[in-house]
Amino acid sequence: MTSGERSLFPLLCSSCHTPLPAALCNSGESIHCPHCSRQLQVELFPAILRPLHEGGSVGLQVAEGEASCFYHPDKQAVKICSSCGRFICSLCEIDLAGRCLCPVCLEQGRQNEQLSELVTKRTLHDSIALNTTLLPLLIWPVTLITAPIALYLAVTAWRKPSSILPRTRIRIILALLFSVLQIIGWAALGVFLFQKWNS
Amino acid sequence: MTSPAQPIKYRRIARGSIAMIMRCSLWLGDDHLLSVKSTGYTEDYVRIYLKDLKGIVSQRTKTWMLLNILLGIVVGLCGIVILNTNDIFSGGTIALFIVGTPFLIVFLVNLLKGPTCKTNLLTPLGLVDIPALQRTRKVTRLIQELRPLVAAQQGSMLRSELLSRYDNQRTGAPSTPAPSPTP
Repeated sequence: MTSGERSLFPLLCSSCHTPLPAALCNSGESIHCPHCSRQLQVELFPAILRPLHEGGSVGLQVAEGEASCFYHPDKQAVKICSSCGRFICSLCEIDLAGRCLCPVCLEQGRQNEQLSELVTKRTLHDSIALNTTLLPLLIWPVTLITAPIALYLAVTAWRKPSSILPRTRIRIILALLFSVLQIIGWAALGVFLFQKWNS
Repeated sequence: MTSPAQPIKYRRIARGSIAMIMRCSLWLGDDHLLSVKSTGYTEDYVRIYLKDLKGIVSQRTKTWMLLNILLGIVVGLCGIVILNTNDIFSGGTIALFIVGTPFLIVFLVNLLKGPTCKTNLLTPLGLVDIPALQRTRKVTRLIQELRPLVAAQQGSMLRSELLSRYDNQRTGAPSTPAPSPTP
């Protein structure tokens, strides 16, 4: 048995934290913990047998006439970065959703939010714009201030990255529509009051 | 420098709420699960790749039963009062009917959705809580759906072989019988 296999942690009951016998797993139905009788459903997959730390190869030394890694000139190149096309060794190779990237491209993609696989948080600018348009209607005089702000938010939200989940632009369209209507309403009221004041 | 990749197509598997404030959902991509927590203005994502998924552990909770008892009492009381009135079209009866109907709907929905649970996914880094999976029925359906997908990523293995090898590794026994030493 390798050291990696020894480090395999046992599957514990989430209630009493005692190890669960393997015979109870993958039955396809609820089972009772032998210690606390709590009803559990446990499904294990083959990855449970995988060692915790597999470790990567350190890369082969480059021989004469062979291509070397861009970042490690003494290492043999084994892959080409699918983004920048640089030769990279097995140390630099990063597999991301079927693409092979070098560390520099990965970092740039993370910073520019171009790699959606690395995004862990998104602000929903369209929802903010829509709520800035609709919520102030509860205290409608406030819309004199919030309507232009909402319009600005809706216009800027159009180009900003939104959720990585399927999402339409209906919120931005509604925010644009309602904010413009509010501004037109205030403008019409202003013109009406101005005419009344003149007469 | 990095060219934007094709947007990943996600399919929603489950959704729920945390303390009736935050919304949470679970989505299935090509090769991973995406757990999303949303405040309405921001979204937080946690990805669990199918090739790394070690298991699913779901623990049944008492929320379903407690909610059924509470709502059942409220609906039952409303029903008893309504049935005991002489004039069914009186103001009080109609008011009770209006108050009781939402409770009845929630009671029936909760009853039909089935028992509640707390679900964790077992990953190389430990347990990841999935708040969107709050019903045992959904967990069972997810397991059935994930089996072929995980097998495609990790390779298929017979249940007996997987469990015996897991048990051997856990207890420290050799997974295959060692050859007898030669003299």
